[in-house]
Amino acid sequence: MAMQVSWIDADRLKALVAQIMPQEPCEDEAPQAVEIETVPDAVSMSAIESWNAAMDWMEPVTAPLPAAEVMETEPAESLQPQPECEEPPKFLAESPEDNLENEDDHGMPLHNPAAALPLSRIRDKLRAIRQRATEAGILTRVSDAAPPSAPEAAMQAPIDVSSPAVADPVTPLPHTPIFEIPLGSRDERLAAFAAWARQVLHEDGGHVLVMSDE
Amino acid sequence: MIAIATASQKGGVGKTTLCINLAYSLARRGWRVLLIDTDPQGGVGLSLAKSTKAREGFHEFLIRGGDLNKIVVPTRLPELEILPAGQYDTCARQGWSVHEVPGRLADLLRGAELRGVDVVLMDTAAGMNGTTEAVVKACDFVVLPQQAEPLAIRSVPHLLETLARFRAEGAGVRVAGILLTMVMREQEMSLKVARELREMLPSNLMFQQSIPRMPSFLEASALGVPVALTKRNPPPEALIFDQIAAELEQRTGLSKQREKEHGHASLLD
Repeated sequence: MAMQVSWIDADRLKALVAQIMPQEPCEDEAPQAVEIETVPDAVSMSAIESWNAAMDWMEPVTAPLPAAEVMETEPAESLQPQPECEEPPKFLAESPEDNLENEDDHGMPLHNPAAALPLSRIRDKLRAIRQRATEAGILTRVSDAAPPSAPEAAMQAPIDVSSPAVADPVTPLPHTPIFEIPLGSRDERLAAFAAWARQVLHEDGGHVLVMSDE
Repeated sequence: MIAIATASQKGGVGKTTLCINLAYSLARRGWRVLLIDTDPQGGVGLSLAKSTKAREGFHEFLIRGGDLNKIVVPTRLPELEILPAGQYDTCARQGWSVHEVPGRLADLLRGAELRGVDVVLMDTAAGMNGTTEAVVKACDFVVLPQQAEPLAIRSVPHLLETLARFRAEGAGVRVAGILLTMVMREQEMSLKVARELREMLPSNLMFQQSIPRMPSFLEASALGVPVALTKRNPPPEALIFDQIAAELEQRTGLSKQREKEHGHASLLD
């Protein structure tokens, strides 16, 4: 191409463009966000189904811990690598929101196919909490119990931190509150669970991380 | 919220005209826009109202910070507000620490976000040094207006080099696109320059729309209004800025954000 007018060295320009245009994914084929199923979605289920699903969350104390089904992520296809862009990557396909997501704890966006690492970490943490709860005898099957009517019912018995049973991972705590999932909205159920978990974990300095996938 | 700067090495390429009209178009398209004049010449204020000459604005904020709400000037379009340049000479006499500028700019953008602004559009002085450099670095995107004439186009590599340096220094600013301005459709040389640049640069780095040199822009300046307001019904050239606004929405992800919020509209139900 003749360059009588602009006098610009096309090669130099190309090199500069490469420096200011980082590789970005195609906008149309951007990976979908991976949704972490925290609690069953009451809206999409009948009350009974919802309750049963909630109860599935509770495993018997003696049962071996399965892989954390409760915190299962989306089906595997959402973690599959997305098809590669046929065209050169869109220069500005990345939205400002994506930047915010990039600033999560692990520096890995959840919508990124490579987000398996943070997800597995989250799963591990949740599994550890669950295991601790099981060992302390506070995670019990409540399928035979009558459905609770209010979140408060789940929190009626405070933990006696002075009890020697707390130190014994085998003996169930006599005053350990049983978490019974209340009926109500997702937020109400999540709040009830968080309050229960805080109560249970407080004595050994544990922390509760409440996550909402909304 | 996103912050967008306009920047060019050369003066007189139409940055202020672009900013005023683009801000107006974005506001008409439903975004809450804050147009900030960081150019000591105060072109935005001079273009729109006599009263802004005496107002405090951007440069006062650079010196002492404070409450953004007290210095923002509303317009008759509720979605569009303006922060004029302020009294640059008075401020320059008092002086400000270069090191404080990034922090002040961050405060400014935070204040805009708290006001509920969707888009901050920053008009800058020509050249890429001093305050303009800090402004561009503080923004999420930069639009690069390039006058379609040989001398102006030759500054493109220098401009890109500067932006590459910004990135190397850790600035997150991204190029929203190069926008050809003051294209003289009757001048073969001007068209040739535009063609050359489009052939050399990737298409996604260039705005599809360009801005022609038209007498109506002079008329708009004389009246102190965006081009769309020079006539009761917006003249055809006003649609140029609507087109640029639409492109900008796509290039910055703004349109994606709105689609996520509202989806598509139905004509009837």
